[in-house]
Amino acid sequence: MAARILALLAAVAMVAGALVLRGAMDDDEERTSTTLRLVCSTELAAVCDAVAADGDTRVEATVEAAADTAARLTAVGPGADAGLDGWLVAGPWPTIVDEARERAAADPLLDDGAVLARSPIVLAVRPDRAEVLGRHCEGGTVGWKCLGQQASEPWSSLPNGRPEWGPVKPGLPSVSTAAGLAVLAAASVGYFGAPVASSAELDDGSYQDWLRKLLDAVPTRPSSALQTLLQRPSAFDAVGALEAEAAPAVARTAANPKPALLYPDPVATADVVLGTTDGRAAELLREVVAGPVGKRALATTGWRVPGQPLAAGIDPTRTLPEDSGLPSAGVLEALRRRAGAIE
Amino acid sequence: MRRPPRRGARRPWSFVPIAVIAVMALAQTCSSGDDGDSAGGDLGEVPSGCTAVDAAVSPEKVELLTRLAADFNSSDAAKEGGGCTFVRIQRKSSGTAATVLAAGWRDEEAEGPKPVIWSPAASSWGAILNHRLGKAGQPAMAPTDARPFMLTPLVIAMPAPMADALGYPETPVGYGDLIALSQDPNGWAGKGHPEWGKFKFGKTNPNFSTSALSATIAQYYAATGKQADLTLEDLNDPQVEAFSRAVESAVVHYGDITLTFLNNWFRNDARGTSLTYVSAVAVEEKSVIDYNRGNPDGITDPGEQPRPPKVPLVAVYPKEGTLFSDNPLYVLDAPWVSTEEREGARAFERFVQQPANQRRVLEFGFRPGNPDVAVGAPIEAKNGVDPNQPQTELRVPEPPVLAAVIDKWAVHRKSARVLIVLDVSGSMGDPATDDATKLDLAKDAAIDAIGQFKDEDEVGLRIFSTGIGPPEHSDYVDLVPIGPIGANRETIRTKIRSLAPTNGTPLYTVARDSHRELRSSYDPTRINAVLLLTDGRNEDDRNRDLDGTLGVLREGSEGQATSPIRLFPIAYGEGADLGVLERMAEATNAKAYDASDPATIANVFTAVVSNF
Repeated sequence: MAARILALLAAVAMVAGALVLRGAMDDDEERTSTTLRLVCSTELAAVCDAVAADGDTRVEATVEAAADTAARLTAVGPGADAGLDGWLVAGPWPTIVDEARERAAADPLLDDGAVLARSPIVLAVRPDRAEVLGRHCEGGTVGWKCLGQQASEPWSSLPNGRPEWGPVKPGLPSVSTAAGLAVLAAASVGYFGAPVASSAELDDGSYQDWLRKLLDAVPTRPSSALQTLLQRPSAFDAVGALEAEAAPAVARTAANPKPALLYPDPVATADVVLGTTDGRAAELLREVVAGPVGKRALATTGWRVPGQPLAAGIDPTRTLPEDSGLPSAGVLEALRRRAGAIE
Repeated sequence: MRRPPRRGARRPWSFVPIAVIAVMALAQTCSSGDDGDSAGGDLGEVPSGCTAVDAAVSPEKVELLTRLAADFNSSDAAKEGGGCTFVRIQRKSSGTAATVLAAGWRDEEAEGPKPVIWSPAASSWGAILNHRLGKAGQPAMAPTDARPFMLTPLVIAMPAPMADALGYPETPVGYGDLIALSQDPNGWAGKGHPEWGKFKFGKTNPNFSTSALSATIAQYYAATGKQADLTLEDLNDPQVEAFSRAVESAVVHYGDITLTFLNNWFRNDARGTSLTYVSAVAVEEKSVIDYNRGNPDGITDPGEQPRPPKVPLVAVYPKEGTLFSDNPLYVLDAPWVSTEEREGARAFERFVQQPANQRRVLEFGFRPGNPDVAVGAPIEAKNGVDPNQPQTELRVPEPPVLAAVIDKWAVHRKSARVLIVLDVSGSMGDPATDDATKLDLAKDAAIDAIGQFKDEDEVGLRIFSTGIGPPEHSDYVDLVPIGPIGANRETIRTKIRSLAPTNGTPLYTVARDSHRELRSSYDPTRINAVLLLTDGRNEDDRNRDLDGTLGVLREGSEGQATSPIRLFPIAYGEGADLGVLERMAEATNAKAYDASDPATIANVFTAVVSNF
């Protein structure tokens, strides 16, 4: 009797195993036979390339500035194809889109899921400038508020600042990019010294003067201000960037001296999410991007991913705040509109 | 519009290499610094099955990019995605390419194939192109996110003793200091060196030359005291205009390429007169390196032994800040660029950014565009440059301001006093094409060139051939005496239209007498010059004295109290004596132009007139 029961259990187990195996094979087959449409924001282009290059999936990748994707998704009509299955972006952009859709009486479009990776927002500063400006700033180190106050002022107006350094020249990515909006939001949080809870705070006159001064002093907006700083340091004195871009590049650069990487208080982070639409393709895409392939691609391109080794140049001793420290999606959108009008 | 085949097909216009050679000769091969002009390049046959990606690049990087293209074409990088890309490089000066692209690159026979990649010397040309297209209601062509391929800052090149006299580098020097010096009636005497005479500035023409465009922008910034946000209002400010005219008044002459100045400087150095030819020239940093390595044109020809100059140059990094030539590689958003071509161009772009390829830009005196590659030799103090400079940059103005800078320069530039001397000897009646003689083409080119002078310029017209003049000077006739061209423009054109070929070529006599005549009426407030077009050799038995002629031409061009008359000869057609004409030009610190292919005469005339 016992032998019969064992045989029966073995048979059941074999059938169940076969079903699981078959299911897995079906999933694999489905992933390789279905075209998964992934859009990445500009700063995640390398991740998109790596995921698309993975032979086990059929991912069709597109890279564009977050603001361009947001504008398109906001305008998607009822029942229309969104043109993508997933949007990999740094920051709460899927929420920005859905809130914009809500204001337009349209249904929400995206589910942004869990944070996949994080990157602190940093300032890369020419070392001699960091020393002179740091001495002038509160706390003895360069911060966003102090940088904005000094922006476009001659260096010679500061003790030990040299006239041939010209005006103080900050470099910032455009707010049409996810990195640019995150950097400017971190700078604004740095100005207030505390999280920005409401867009009404952005109406503060002193803040608006500071913001305008900071943005007006940006001499040029190349595709990467950080790369420009490394190529020709005379272009900028201090550049706001994501650690994911800046730390590996500074570690790698042959520039001498290398820029100093500063983490202005309060430290804020850009957090990567995958906004997905409804449907099976979106589910499959999430499995790929949130799976080993996606995590590895994020980590090797400088993002901090739980359980993954850090890329060269990323400081392992630095602990991150529990949340991003950036304002809500609504405040970010208000900031983007204000800054966009100045840029 | 006819389009040359790009995939695996032979080009139908086999004449291109001939035009290329002619125009490359015109531009004096791979020039140092910026600019140079016209169509040309290395257009190889596209292998079967490959996609041709044509690249129009500014002259200073033709040699480097031609080598990189050859390496790319034979590499796996050209076979990405299972395709096959074949990159072909053609020479095109930045200003010319911007103009031709804005007009839709209509004439491929004259300008070369429509480019997929455009690499001007600086991204300011991309901004100018997009601005011009925008004004015409067309979409932009130059993407704003192009990466620099290599870099070189604009500097002010000065002979080392002159930089020393200004206290550089301990005392920072800027455009404002040099402009003040140029306006000082005592000139260098105020700095303890009366033997150097007045301060003389060398600049090229910003319609053609990137270094000239950058220098003119820097000049306006110096006039306003700004380092950013130059506006149209600034340009129209009477004080700024006066400042700009003052700068231009110190210019010895203009030109299409900085190489003219560097070559002349180098020749004067050999004669020990480099300190009196010109005091400072706005050039790119790499030109200073080339010069100090004894190779002012930046190319070592086979057998050439570079000879370092007796008096080296120093790169002065202006204290107000400067601009970079950032050599972007634009994959054009042009209607003629296919997806296949775009992908091939991007593969080439990635290839040239690889560290191993970026290290090669250093050989040419440029700074790498990839920051992972260190700036090293030859960008070092022993070559007169400082890798830690510049400390700051001037902001590139908005496109409408950039366009206005060029327009304003045309008004503010130093006025010219030019005698145009045209050869009407019998050989000018030889056919140049099926339906035009050499004289016909020269007349058309001269008539067009007359339009490039501003109203305040003084221009005269002289023709020469044996026995055509009055008894007192039987070898030439003055058809229009030198006078303001604003009133004479149509008269000169009419006279040119009526020209007909006649007798022999009394070259030495007309060169000597024209030079003497201008010298006797020298106007120090103007660029005084003779433009001499000839298709032959001296055929005058009464005057075979070349040395005597050169001696006369040299008068006034040497010493600190100079009254220089520049002779710019054009060697027209294959029979012209280019060697002799070059010696004549060098005797006056000018430059001879080669139009041995009569079809190039229009471009050559434009290049010559850019000196005024």
